[in-house]
Amino acid sequence: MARMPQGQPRPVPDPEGDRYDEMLRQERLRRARVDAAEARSPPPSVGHPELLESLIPVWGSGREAVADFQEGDYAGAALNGALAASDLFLAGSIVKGVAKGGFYTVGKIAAKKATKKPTKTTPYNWDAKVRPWMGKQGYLAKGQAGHHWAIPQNGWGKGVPERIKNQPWNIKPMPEGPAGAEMHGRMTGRYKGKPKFNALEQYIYGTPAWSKTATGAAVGHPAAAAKAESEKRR
Amino acid sequence: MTPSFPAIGFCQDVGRYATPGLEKFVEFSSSEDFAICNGWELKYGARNGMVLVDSELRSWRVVSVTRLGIVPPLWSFLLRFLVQQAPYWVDQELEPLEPITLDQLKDRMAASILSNPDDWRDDEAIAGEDGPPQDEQEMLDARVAGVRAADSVEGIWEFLYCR
Repeated sequence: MARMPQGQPRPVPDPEGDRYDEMLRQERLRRARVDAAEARSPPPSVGHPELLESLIPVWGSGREAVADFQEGDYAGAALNGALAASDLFLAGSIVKGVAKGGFYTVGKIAAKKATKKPTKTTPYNWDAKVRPWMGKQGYLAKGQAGHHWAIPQNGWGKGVPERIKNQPWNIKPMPEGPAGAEMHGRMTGRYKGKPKFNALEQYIYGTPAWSKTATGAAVGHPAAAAKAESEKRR
Repeated sequence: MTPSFPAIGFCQDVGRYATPGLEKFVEFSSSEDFAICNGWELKYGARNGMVLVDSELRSWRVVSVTRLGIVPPLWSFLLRFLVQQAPYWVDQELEPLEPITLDQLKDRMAASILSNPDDWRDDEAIAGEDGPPQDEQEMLDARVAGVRAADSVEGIWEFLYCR
């Protein structure tokens, strides 16, 4: 068996060398392509809801918020998270309202039908019928004023049937005590020398929280859905 | 002897937000009206012990209230059931009391109006929505004056409930 003298290398013919170099080059290129693709692709996400799904209260905005967060769109996540929270608040308000009665109804309608006799009473009268009922149900505390915020009692609201306007949904409880009386007075005019509220003040003090939330949801849901759709197209 | 209508019923303030010992009154325009009681009233026993004064100033106390059945139609009953105002036909056992005078009735109603301002105030009138703001006490006094000016139970009922 031949032996190499120590410390003296010698060239050995390598017929596979070029093919081996080519294979290494191809492997480097493949890895570079994979790395580039991974850098371009977004991180794993639950996925954005479709347009109609995004309009479903709580679910649509909730899923949108999670997807935004997973993709690093923190502003979008905050916006959709706020929308989901407002949906929950709205749902809570509706549940609370129903728990207190929700709507004032008159059982005597059936009695009227049974007797076929016309009645002269005004069953949805505000101060003799509906207001006492709202007190009994806990909508209004003792001495607390209730403001007809959407359909007024007077003015253009006079033509609206009492069974529609004298309902809990249309009554915004004012703060208790003299501050509430003053606030209620300033909704429609000057009150004890103080000026009438401007439109913004009337909106802030004169509409219930659920109504403001519903307005926000009515605007926010389509806006968030449109934003998500435009992002999908990009 | 059955009550004639309209009639006035004096009852205790009941329910979750009630003030113990406070007397309120309600109206009944017909016998059918009196024979119907909603779920809330049954739950809190609003009719138990109620003193009924009829249009001829005869007087009774409601001793017991028995639920007979639902007031049809069923769809209407179910809708009202959801908002805790389901109407039921009831049978009420009445115990006769001594008749009262019209002035005694007016006194009792006036006392109730003045001790329950929340049941008789018109918030929008106090706020001045349709004219200058009204004083709450003056508004209550006007209601009491209207009650006192009536010459019959029906006159009182029309003044308070037929506006």
